[in-house]
Amino acid sequence: MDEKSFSFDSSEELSPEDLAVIRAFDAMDDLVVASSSGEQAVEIQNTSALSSDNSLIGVESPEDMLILFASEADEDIGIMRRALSQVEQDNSTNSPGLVTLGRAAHKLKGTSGAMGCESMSAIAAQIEEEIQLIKDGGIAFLTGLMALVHAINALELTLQSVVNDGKESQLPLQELLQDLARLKVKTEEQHPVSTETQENTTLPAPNEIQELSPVMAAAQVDTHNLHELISHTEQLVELNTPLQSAQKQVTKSLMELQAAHTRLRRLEGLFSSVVFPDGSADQPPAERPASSLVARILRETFQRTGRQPQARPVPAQPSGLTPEAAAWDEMEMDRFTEHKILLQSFNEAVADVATASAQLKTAFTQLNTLIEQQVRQAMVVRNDALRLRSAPFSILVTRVQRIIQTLNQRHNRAIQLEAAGETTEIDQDILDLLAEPLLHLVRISLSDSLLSLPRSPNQETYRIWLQAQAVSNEIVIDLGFSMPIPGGALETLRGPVQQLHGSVAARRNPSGGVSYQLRFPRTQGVIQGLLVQAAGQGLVIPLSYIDSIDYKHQDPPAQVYWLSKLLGFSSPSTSSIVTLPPLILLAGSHKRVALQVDEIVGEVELIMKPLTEHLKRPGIVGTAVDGAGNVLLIVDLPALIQHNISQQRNQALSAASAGLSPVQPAATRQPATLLVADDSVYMRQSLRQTFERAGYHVIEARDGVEALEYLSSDQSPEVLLLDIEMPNLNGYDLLNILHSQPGIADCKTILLTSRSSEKHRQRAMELGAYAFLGKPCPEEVLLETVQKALTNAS
Amino acid sequence: MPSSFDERDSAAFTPLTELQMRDLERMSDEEFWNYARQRVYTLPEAPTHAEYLECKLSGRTCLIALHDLAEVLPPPHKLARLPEMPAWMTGIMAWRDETIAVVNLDLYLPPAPGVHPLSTVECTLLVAHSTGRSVGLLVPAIGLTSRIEFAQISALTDPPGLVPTRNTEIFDGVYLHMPILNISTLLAALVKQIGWAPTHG
Repeated sequence: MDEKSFSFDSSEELSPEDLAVIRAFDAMDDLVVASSSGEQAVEIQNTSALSSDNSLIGVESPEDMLILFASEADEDIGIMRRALSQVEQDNSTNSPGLVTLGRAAHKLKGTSGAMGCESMSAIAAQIEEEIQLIKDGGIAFLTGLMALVHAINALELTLQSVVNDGKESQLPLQELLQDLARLKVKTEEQHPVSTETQENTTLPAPNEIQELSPVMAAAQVDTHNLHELISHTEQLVELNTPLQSAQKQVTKSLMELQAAHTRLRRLEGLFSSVVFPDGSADQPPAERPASSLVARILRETFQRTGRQPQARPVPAQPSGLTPEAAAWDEMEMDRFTEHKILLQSFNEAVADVATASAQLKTAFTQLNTLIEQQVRQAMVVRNDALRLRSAPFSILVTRVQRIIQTLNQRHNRAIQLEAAGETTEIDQDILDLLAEPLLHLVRISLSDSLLSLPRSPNQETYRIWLQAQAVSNEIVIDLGFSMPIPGGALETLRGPVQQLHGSVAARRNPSGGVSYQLRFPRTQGVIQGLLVQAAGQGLVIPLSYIDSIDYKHQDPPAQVYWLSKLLGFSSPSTSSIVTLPPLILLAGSHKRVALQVDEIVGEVELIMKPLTEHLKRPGIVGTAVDGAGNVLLIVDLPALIQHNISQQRNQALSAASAGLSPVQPAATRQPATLLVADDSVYMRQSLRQTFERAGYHVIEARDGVEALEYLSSDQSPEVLLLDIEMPNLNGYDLLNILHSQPGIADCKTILLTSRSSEKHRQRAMELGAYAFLGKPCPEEVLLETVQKALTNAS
Repeated sequence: MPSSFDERDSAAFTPLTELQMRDLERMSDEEFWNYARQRVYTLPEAPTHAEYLECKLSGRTCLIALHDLAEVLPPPHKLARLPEMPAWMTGIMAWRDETIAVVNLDLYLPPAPGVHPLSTVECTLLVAHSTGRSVGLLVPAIGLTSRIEFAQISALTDPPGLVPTRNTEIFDGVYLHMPILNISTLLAALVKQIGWAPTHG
């Protein structure tokens, strides 16, 4: 459509949106006319400081948008120049400066493309391509540097033409192409820049990764023997549970014996009162003993003495005798003796039981002491065995320290490392997988930050803190930066974190930087957990996943999950439950998320074993066996909840595609809230204008961390428009968090990025993105996608 | 209980009789080495028979080679359920320091139409083991053990329709109208299907 020939006969036919568009074009024309006055340059200069200010809400005119763009592009070009200088100093294709340069060029490519500055976008793309050629060895290093110098100059000249003339000049691009042709640098074919190749080319230099491990005596141990030793010690520890279970059983039996003894003592008194009522002690016994116990005592007495202790029949009272005379019998002594014998035997039997009970109690006390010693010793042996395959955290700290020293020397800065928990023993499996990505993250983040941050006269001291601690069955590693760092950290750590069944959380720290917390479960060994019942089955929830237990159900959580439903077991009928068992509140969640189980049995300490491959299930990290030989599943709650959410999402999508879910008209709802997360002020403002015109409520985030803060708050939006390249947490990092941590937000995520290759699209969709749009994106496509996302959400 | 591997290899190393031992003692070095070479190159005799256990399922009986069974025991009082189990899997249990799947064989090998699976309340648990895999097989009842000559085992098609056609690979053949289970193939199929259950349903 030819926009210049577009005209309207009558403004009455126009909608308010149409009028706003026309006013915007008029303002653009005014800007072009006014640009020759020379005031523009001053205005841009004055507002360059504004671009770093976040108080730009309300800036809507095209002039302001142009100023924003120019200011931001100027900053990006400055970063490129500093990064290029760094590359020249390093004189290596492994220089982190190349990564910074590429990142700045990529950002500028997207922003200028969205602004309609095709020439600048093309030059920025050319810079990306040149960087790739340098890394791949497609051109000589020095030639590549010269090409980059030309390209950055061209970029600067073009920007100058935009600022001075209000439109971009094509001349710098043409001259650049000629220069590149002279240098024989390829310009036609596009080479997509991948984060993988960026990572590969910044592998640590050998001198940087040299370990300064403490000198210690070492012995070579056969791995198989080591595993056997660990396996046997774990079996030894595993015996603790049945041993303690048997111990409890014996304690119970002993208590029953003592109770029986008490009853017997009471019976003894009763028996005595029956045999000797009113203290006369000579009541004739019945002909037949009343109880089998008495009969047995009498029989045993007979066997021991050879005399039948049979009571004589009571003679009939002779007539004419007084009752006193009748009560006297010369043979009464015999009867008395028999009764006495019976009572004495009974007493002796009771005393025997008491003695046996006391002896048993003493023996059992000694046994208890020995069992406790055995349990403790088994744990000591097992810990010793496990230590054979672990290493202190100081090994990693030393390597990070080395990197920082190198960077301090190179940049003449004073970055400080604050380390803690160096003596924490960490599984070799965790260290092996984590060390390189973590060191890579530190190196790249620091290099990039030092290049991007301007050097001030009162030089600020930047800090990094790194600490480790063992919490319950987890290793928790905290890594913090006091300054903003480039995004992509979680993408770097994603592989090892997934492999180790760990998790990563990110937050902005008080210093204005970003902090990451990495949590890794120990794959084997003793696990401390809460034993619960769900759908009639015993399950163990590691204590590290539990924040607290709500017994009174007073403060309702944001989300409650039934464990039986999460596991897909037959769910209990809530109507049949008179009183709900306590809620288990989950740790590490941004919102108050709780778990409902059928019963909380108590705290346990068991040996965890991994499941064989075919028995592995999402959210189940292993099994343990209780004292009775029952298998207990050990639950990885975040993974289980995430799996459940994914299943529900898939089912909803299937149902929607089958036309089963009714689509609500969007008009019936309140204006939806959209969150725009982009590090470009220009892009955020542009998107805000577009969506506000369409009637949406828009909030903005400068980076992934700020977006995460919004998502975790009450302002949680319905749709998130997310850029990939952002500082602190990039788009993939944020998607990773949303994907792995349930309950943060229930919103649809639309990726809006200039990284539009199929690989990026696929990655975003794997991480749960709703849609993937390339920059610049036509307004109608953008609005239509958001509308669809909202319709599906309903 | 010897595994199939042990049994096959033991044939190659048949122990010497007492008479042979005495002969060996009298041999010169040359005679001994000649004899040894002769023994080495003698092809082992393939077994011609095996012992089988009758497993009584709903409306039919199948046979399992004894050397594929690691243990026969009463089922545990309670089995732990695993999320996303196939319908024929009863649960998991601890067995000899490992956690194994327990499968209701009567449900896995569906009976002919009209025949209802028997109750497994008083069933028997057979722990089958093959190539590093162990799986518990619940059967309603077990019968006698029989020594069967391999020559007496007929093809699955005789009589036709005795076993479900979709599962023919898990049978070795038929003996007196009783299908013989190939435990190695059966366990491989079970393990695969249990592993696939979360993604393939």
